[in-house]
Amino acid sequence: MTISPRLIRHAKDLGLQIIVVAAVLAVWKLGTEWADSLYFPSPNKVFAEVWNGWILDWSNTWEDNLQPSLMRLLSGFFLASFFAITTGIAIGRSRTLGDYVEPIIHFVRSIPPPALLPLFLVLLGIDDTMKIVLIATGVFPPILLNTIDGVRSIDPLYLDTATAYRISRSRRLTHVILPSAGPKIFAGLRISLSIAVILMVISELIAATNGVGFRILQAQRQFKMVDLWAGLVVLGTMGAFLNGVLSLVERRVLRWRRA
Amino acid sequence: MSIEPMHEESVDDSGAEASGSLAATDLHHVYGRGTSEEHHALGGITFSMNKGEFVAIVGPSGCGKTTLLRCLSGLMAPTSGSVMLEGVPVESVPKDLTLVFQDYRRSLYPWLRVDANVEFPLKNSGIGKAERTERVRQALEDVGLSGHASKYPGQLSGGMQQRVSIARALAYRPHLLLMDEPFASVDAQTRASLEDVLLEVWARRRKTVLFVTHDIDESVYLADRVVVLSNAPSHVMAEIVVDIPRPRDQIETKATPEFVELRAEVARLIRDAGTGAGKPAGDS
Amino acid sequence: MASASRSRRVPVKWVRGAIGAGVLFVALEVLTRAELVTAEYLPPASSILREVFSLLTTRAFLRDLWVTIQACLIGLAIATLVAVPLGLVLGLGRTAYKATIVVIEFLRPIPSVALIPLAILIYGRGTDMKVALVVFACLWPILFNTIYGMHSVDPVAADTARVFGLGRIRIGTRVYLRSASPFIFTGFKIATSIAVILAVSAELIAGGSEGIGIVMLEEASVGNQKTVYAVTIVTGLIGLVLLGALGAVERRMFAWAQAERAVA
Ligand SMILES: Nc1ncnc2c1ncn2[C@@H]1O[C@H](COP(=O)(O)OP(=O)(O)OP(=O)(O)O)[C@@H](O)[C@H]1O
Ligand SMILES: [Mg+2]
Repeated sequence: MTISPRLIRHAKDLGLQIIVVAAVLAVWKLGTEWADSLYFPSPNKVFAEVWNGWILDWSNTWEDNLQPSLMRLLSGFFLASFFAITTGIAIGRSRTLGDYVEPIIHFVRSIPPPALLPLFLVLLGIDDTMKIVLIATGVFPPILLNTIDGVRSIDPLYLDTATAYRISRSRRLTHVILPSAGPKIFAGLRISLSIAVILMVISELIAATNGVGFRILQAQRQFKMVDLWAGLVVLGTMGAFLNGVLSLVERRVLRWRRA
Repeated sequence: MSIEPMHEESVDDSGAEASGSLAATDLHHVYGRGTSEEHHALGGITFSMNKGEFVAIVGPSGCGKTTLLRCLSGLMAPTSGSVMLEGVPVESVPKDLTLVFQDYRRSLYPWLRVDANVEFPLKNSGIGKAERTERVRQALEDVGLSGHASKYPGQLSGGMQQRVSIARALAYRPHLLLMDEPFASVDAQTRASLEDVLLEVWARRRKTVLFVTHDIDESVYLADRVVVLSNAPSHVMAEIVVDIPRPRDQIETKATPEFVELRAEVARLIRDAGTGAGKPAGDS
Repeated sequence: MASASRSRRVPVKWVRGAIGAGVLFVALEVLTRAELVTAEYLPPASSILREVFSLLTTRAFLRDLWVTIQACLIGLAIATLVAVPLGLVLGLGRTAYKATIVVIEFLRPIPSVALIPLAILIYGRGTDMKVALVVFACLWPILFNTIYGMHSVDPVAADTARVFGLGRIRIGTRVYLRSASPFIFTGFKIATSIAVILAVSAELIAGGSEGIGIVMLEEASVGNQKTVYAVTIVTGLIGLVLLGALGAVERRMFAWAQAERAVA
């Protein structure tokens, strides 16, 4: 019986990952103990705080920090995704429409998303509506542009085939155009998710009374370095989790690509 | 591959009159008109085919066969000339017609499994679920892909993909079937069986078939009539009636003197088509 | 045929783009003039545009603008000087490459903007803090793309160079650096957008006295919508100019390379 070379390679990669992560933690621990820095607490303390301050107090952390953050982020993200994909398909299908609106889209895209915050602050105030609108506006352009690109780069023969079989307009849209633009749309969604997290954090650092970002800000104001680092770890975990979910959805929706 | 002769349960359209008389008059097509890369592909093609006929088209590579099929099917408007189906001008793809594309790889949807690809056009025409499933099963069996229904096209070889695109057209059951080099990528063995499947379906359902091929043997073996096109701008150089009796047989028919004679005649015409325009005669 | 029709299309495209922008402008103007939207939400488009011009000719504003851009440029320069050599070395071996990827994957989910509170504690609220953040955030995309580029070097080219007796260092610069440069440039482009995002965010969060983010916050706090709109538009213009310039450089310098886009 033989073990396939691929399996060996996977095992090696996994081993390497474990070693690297362990090494990072070791450097972190030894470095902080040796330097005894004010700003870099040792990982033991940070993870202890994650455990005691966040996980053991789950119902409070969920209600005060995680749930508000997730609500803002996901509302903005889904709102923008829906409108960006639908308008992206419309613009992608019509050269003329695209010609008229593309310069505007490119301009809006080149505004660094956080720079929108003061404007929305003054227009919408500091409540959740502002944060959701900010996130939605910031993630809109990448999804829109990727959708347009995906719809435009559809293989013309896919459409000819649909015509040859007299596929109706609506089915052509949902069953031919949308799936063929799928990979590009997901690329846009992935970029957008990271922008959404950035905007969520910034809006919570500037104008919030709850959320993960707010808790990090509080820790900073009270000079609680361990709490601050624990907040970063939680935020990182949240980001990784959301990314993981998106990847899972993508793998499922685009599973034909691995065929 | 099974070449099952009769499927009594689904003779829905065989009782009807065989339909699909198609006539093209003085078709011209020019690509990129008014640009430096203008190309006159069709140079006045006139021909017609009757209901129930099996016509093969042969011609040098690049002479405009695919262009012709696209114009005939209504996918593309010719620069000038007319296409009539049963006396009605063809402006968009008619209901009882479909096309098997030459570029089969790009005409299957990679996000649909094989059976879903075959079933996809049927969902449009109000056919019940049970009937659809049966048609898909039958068509995949006809092309010898029964075991591959739940794979994605990307998991199949080129020849298998080509057969899926044929199965899709068979399951759709158009009266008029236009096929653009549909067997080009399958191995010789499978090709012979596919030819016989096609002939059998054609005879049973009284379809009208227009079949583009590079293979002279294939054209003579399958068709009632072989239309030979010239180099671009192409026109009809000759039409050869193949009066070999049916049913035909892969081995016996191809050994008959008539077959050998007709094949030589077509080959000669194609060679002349190539040299006539001062170019080598394609890749066939 | 394709190229001919494309070149004919370009002016059409520009005309339509201009019409689109013009229609938007007029629509916004009419919206406020007809008092369908109060000036509190949307000052007349023409007044915003005038404000953009007046800002761009005001010394004080240009100083603020320069403070922000300066932080970006210094941070980008440091990040490039660190990440490119590091990437060239790490890119030579498979294991180092994979190890780096793990570290990057490990750090990636933490949005760099979340480090702003920490950076404020360590570096204060001035330029140092912004530069430090920009360096940290820009290091990764440049490093990742450099390593990625090293792996795209055609081994045949490297062998050929060896056969011709080029020394190690010269192989390094001639073959590897040249082949990897389009990827490095892609990383640099990504890093540039990130740099602007971080510098502006840092100003918004840290406060302070100068910088374009500060101008926006101050104007917002006194309810001067017109100027806030105008500054937001200016940030967009900067983005357009920066990315446009980088795009032009890329097309000129790396036309030979059909560089695959590596996204870090
Ligand atoms: N969309 C197009 N634009 C410009 N020229 C085209 C286009 N499609 C085809 N042509 C040109 O028209 C000519 C005929 O093409 P067509 O595909 O109809 O030939 P064909 O007979 O089907 O060739 P083959 O036997 O290789 O399939 C070729 O010279 C081709 O380059
Ligand atoms: Mg062809």
